[in-house]
Amino acid sequence: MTASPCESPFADRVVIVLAGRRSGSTWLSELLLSHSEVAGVSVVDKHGHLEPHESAIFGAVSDLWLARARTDGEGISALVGDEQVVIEIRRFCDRLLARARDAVSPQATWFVEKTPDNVNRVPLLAETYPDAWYIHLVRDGRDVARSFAVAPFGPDDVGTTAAVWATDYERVVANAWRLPRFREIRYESLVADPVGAVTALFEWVGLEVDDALLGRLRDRSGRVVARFGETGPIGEGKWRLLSDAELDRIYTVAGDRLAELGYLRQSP
Amino acid sequence: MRPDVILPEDRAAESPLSGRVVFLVATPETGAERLLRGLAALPGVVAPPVPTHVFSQGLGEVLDHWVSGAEMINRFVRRQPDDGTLMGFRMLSGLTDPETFLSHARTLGDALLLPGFGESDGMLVEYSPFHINNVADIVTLYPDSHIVHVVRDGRQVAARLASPLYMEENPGEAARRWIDEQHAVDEIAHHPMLSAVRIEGLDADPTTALALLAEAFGIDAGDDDIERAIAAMGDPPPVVPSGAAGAIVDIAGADLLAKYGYGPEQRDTSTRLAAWAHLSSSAAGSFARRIATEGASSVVERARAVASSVRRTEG
Repeated sequence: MTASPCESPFADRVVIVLAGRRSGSTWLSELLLSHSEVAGVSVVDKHGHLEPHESAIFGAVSDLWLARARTDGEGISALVGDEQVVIEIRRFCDRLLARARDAVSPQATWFVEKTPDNVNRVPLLAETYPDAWYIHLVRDGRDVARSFAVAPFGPDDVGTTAAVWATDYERVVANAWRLPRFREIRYESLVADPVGAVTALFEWVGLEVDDALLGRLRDRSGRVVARFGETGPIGEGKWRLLSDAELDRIYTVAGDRLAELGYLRQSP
Repeated sequence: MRPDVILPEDRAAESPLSGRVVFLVATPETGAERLLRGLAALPGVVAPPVPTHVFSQGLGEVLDHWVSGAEMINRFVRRQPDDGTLMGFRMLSGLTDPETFLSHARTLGDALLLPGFGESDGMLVEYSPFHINNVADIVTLYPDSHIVHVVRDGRQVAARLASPLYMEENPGEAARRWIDEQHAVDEIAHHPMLSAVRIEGLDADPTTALALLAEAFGIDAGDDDIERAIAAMGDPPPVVPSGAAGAIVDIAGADLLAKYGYGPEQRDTSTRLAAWAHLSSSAAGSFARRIATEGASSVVERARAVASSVRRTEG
């Protein structure tokens, strides 16, 4: 079922990136924002570029969404019904997304949302935005664990950050069946061919790609984003900088997922 | 963290629910349900059939996502980037300005509450047990609504909260809940739409109390209407021995008891000593810390009175 639960200015025109922290969602979103039809929650960075930010909008409505499923008969659903709660949440989100769109790209008719916490909200997303296009961005958990640990936020132990990566991945995969428009891509393939990968995504959702867009994509694909605590070049494989002890901690908590995803086969 | 502004007056006036909602806020076991039944019996007044939890499980969380507070930043950000940018979490404030955000949140709240009116073009009275902790959220989004703080002697409330009906509450937690929740209302103490109703006063003279409330809400209620409302309220619950929970409220909630006009209660020495022992044993807890920092003078004063009374009793 891909119909919006109500009339919506963004019906069939929202792209939601599902990716945990340090998985490349900012970069992918910035590439998607290259399209003139696509807007997002953006701020102008110190270089004058629009940088995608996190809205946490689905976290904001999560309590309300959960309340509709109370089993004690109490809650707002007793007044309006479960379906209407979902509709009102959709309307509220649409209105705020439209305001954000109007502030930065009023001509845009699409919206891209990339809050990392969305990996925990897939059932909510599936009910409120069943018509959205979901891109699950998967990155080598060892690189995520390392990048997350050196970032100025969150845990600084790679064992803990690897566990977060594994949990984030599992939560999306466990709920992917709820999302009719779901596609998984690897960060590593995005790094290898950003223009090709994003062009394929635009074609998947039905957005036209022309030479001007390809030029913007080429320009943006080399731009550095969200490199908290990083000093080296952008790219994959930095996990090789980790010590054996750190890798051991990662493999202890996330080895099975890394193997399942084929990352261990590529290791030297 | 919610915006530091409230919904503009002119925007509130545009709402189909402008001035038509009464939020009763109270700690459970205060008697707010009885007042709710009474008010709902007045002409043109409706009440939802169950607690809506619309703020405590909905709009409160929406408002709280406006921007991350210092507490959250300090919790998640170990160090700020050295490139001069400050790291925080813009959350919903990255989408629009606070007035527009509040306007849309109010539209959401109205859409959820409006069906509760049914065919009525009058007032809706709402009570949800945890809303007393959301009073600032309510004022932020519904500054035009009446907020009625229903108060009952905290020793009675805590005693009931500590009863087997609330399995999770021990006497200390029950006392703390009453104290903390009454203090939560302090945050909106100067809000012009806030009023307080002592349940004991209501029971002593329900005719006058209900007539005054009806007048405050702009409800044209005759004598028969008030009689119906009194009948709908039913009888007040019996007074129970306030026990250990009441003794703790006596000490730690002395300022609140005085504020709401509740006098001293006769109590045996062993119960008083047990209450002090409880407070001493929880010295490492936040409850004791709060008492120490915010209510030290009143606690000391109260302690002196209790000690003096104990000496008199034993002498």
